[in-house]
Amino acid sequence: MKLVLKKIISLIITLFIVSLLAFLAFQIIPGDPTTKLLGTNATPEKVAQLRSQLGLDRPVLIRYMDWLVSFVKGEFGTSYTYNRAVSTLLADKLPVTVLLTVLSFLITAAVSVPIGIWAGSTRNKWVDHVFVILDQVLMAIPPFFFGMVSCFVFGIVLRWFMPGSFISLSESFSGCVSYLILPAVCLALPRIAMTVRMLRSSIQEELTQNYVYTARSRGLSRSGIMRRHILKNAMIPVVTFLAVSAAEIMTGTIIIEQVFTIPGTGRLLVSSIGNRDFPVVQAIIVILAAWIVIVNFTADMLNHWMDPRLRQ
Amino acid sequence: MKIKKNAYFITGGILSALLTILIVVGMFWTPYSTTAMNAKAKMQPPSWSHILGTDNFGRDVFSRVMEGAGTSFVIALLVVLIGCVCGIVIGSLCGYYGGIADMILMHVCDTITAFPAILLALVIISITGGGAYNIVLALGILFIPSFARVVRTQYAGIRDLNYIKSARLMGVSAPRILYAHILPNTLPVLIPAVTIGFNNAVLAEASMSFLGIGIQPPQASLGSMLKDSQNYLNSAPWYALGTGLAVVLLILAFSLLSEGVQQGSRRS
Amino acid sequence: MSLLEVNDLRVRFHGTAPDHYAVNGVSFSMEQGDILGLVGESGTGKTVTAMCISGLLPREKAYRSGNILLDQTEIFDCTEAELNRILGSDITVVFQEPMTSFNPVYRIGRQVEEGLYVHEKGLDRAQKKARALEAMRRAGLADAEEVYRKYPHELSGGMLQRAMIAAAIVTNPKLLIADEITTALDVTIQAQIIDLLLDLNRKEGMSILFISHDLRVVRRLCSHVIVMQKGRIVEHGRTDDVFAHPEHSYTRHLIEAIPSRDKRVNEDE
Repeated sequence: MKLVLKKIISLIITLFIVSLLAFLAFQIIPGDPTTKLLGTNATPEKVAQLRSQLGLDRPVLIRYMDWLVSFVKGEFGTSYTYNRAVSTLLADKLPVTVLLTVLSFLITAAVSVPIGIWAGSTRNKWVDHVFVILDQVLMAIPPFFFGMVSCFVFGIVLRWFMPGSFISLSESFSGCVSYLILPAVCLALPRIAMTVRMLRSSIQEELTQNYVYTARSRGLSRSGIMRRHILKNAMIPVVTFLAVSAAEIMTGTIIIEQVFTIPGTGRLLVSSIGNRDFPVVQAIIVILAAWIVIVNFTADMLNHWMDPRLRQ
Repeated sequence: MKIKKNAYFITGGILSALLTILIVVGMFWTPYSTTAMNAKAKMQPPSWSHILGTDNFGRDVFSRVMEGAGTSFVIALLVVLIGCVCGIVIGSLCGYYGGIADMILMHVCDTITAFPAILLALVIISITGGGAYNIVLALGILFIPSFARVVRTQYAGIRDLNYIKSARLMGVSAPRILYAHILPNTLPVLIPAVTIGFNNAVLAEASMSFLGIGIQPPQASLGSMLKDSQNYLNSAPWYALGTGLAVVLLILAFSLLSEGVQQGSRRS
Repeated sequence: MSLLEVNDLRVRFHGTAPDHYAVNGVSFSMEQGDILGLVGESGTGKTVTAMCISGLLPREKAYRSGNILLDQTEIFDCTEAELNRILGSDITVVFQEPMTSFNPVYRIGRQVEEGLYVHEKGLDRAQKKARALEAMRRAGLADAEEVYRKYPHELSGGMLQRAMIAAAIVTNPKLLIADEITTALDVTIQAQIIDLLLDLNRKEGMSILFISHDLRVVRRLCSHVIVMQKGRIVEHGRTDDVFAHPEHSYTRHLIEAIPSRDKRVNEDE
């Protein structure tokens, strides 16, 4: 229990540091946002007025505290380009990205774990080679190229869907999910390849452990040993890896949303970087970073729950 | 380090050698001009004269792939160079001397590697702006922690071995121990780390240029060409497929090579 | 009728020279209530012999010939399912390394109960726990309740080996195979484990096949002893006879190799 408390405190500290770094990063931007808003030939009085209006004339740390408090309250500032609250911009974009991430993660876990277990319990030279080659090829294909190929094959050749005709969540949940399946698969494929390979070598490693002999000497069948002994041990490193995958997938949505023209946070982020619309960029980056920190924390907790040796 | 030859090593080696030759040639000569536009030969499908077809301006896709791959290749090489050299310096000092500085630096490294490199590169690029120079610098810095981590682990393991201890007693200078005695022993883990790093760099550059925040036109890289080709997926699919396959082959070649090195050194 | 009969056992691992037998024509028998010691240097085929008896040497790994009769069941003729019925109920094994022989992520209790989980499906949770606690007390773990809840890394080597013995006797097997079980332990703990095995043998009539390279331990524990060298039996007899009048030069050699201080202690007894 004490350990959990310690972990939670360190999580909060990490979140503070990450948010501070994210805040500071956007303070050192060359060029003043006022120039962006007012143009280069604005009068100094107007600039000063806008600066105080935006709160840019106060010390950095105070601005950080203010920013953090309002950020936690869900007030992410105002977009320079759209002149609307960032939170309203994100309100209908974030759910799409979250849905895409969750779908892709579920596909990754649901496909890779059974295949990995099967591959781990099969000892065959040819299966070995097939998995290494499949792993190499799948990892070499960037998800966005996968996306383009599937747009071409399923969208243009087979006409199963119209690339770009995204169905929003409010229109139809199932329609939205079915549009997101293909991009989710594209994001999942390299992660599946890596997870399968990892789980497989993890299982094969565990199979050589002495406790397997003990279990066999009790008369446990092969499948019984796999179920009762190997799996939990073999999953410990894989859980950490799946957490990394969750972070990578969330980041991957930025690119895959471009390919499939999905109006999520990724597209907003990319266009905002282009427009140098920093409140939007900052909000999205902080949300992504917080997500990654929390995912890693969850994996850490899961590991502690699974591996009693870590609880010392 | 002796590597037992295997199918992965040979295939990867041949493939990467061929690609490297093609890229180096592409820096001096391409079958067609990469900039001259030809309105009469717009969006032609692959043929004997244009093996990957032509793009929307009538430029030969194969020639442009050769040039674009060169840009991606050089960027990835520079990124790995920065990451690897800085990583070796930081990792070797941390691993050899240990102490509080080691603890803090490794903690920072672990924190940075917990975030996907592309995300952090996006943050940096969104602040500094795009372009080849900024991409190389941003990715190079972001690649340091993973190299430093690998190198540190090796140094921390080797530092207490007897032959290093006796070298120290014989009065061999620290830099000599660090880089003449220990460094060669880290190669079996450093070489795979370099190839994996190279692949990640190719992928990261391609992703960022694809998003339009990496290499800016008129300079072409595989990523920016893929972004461009996306608009003509309907009318000129060979443009996208040819360029994409080049990315895949580039990554595959080096990852096969790395797999071969790992399997070969594991067996011996 | 013998509990265990081994006739002309030969084992050759795949990929070794055609005349290189790990076990080469080993025959012996063992009666109910015996403690039989199997001694020899490492690599003489003691463990391979034991693995054949417990059916843990898979057919894919080695050529095997001869017969092994356990209570008139031919081990080599058993299917995997039949073997799994015998293993853990009729024969149980305790291995050398107590730390790695336990699965690190599960509590001791669950692993002590494993034999019951496999072979006595009818028992409910409380019954299984009662049987496990009883076995742990028989194995000399006084605070069995406490150990039941522990994870392997929380216990010392000696405690773990006791728990391993508890797991091996929870199903009341006909034969307990102890493969170098004292080797990884401190000398004082070794003595305690030996006393425990002697106790189990005297009080419950447990038959034990005790494999060791340590002649001092074998001398204290075993009623009969087999000396193996290069896959063959070179000497076989009652322990006292073998130690008093070793016939084979190899046995004499082994006895001479026992540190002299221990010999003196033994002579004082």
